[in-house]
Amino acid sequence: MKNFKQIALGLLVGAMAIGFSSFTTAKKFTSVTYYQLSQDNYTKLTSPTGNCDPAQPKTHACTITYASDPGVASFTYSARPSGGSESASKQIWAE
Amino acid sequence: MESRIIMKRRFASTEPTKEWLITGIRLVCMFLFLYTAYAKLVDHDRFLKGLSGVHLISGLAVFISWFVPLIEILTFILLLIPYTAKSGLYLFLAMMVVFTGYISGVLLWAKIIPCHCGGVIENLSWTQHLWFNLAFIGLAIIALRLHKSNNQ
Repeated sequence: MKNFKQIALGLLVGAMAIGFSSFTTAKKFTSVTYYQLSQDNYTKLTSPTGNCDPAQPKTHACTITYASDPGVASFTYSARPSGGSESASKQIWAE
Repeated sequence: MESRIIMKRRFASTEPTKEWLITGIRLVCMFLFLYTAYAKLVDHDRFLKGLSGVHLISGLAVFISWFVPLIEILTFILLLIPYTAKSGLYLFLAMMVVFTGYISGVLLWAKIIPCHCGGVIENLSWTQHLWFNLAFIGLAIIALRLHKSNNQ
């Protein structure tokens, strides 16, 4: 019974941790603007699809994210607005 | 004779306190690790990108980005089950020592490196982070010592 109580209390703490974590992490997603590479241009998306056009140059990042909206619909890789965070998954391309 | 009884009573009354202290410390450690593990997994790409930017560990960034949250979840499970709580505390202590070593390394060799520890903990400065970790190391050591004295 004592062990059962301890596990129940632990699970409650776990649920609180996940709830609190999702609450504090969620804020980061609200202000992010995504641009995804398509036909030599990065076009604005509400959320990245996870796949990039395989015909695109593989030296370019698949997606570029901005904490605040740069205010443009599209741009080329060389003319990308500064302050962006480029996708770490350059190697992830649509098969 | 009377003083002996008083001593015995005092000692007996400390046992539940010890139990509560150990449980309390376990719960705090469980909260910390599940909280940060969840933040790392939910925002994994950002965590991976952050690790890739750290020169010393960039080669192992992908492995570390999965290994650290999974070990944190394993520690949570070990701490959750009363029979494995002691092993969980040892694993927690080991992980915190490794993290503290990493932070100390960063403080010694790098000036500006973003922290990708997950959640609100990222808002701490490196020095605050070091003290935060040392406090948790201290808590884990206290819990293990109490565990030991309880078993004797």
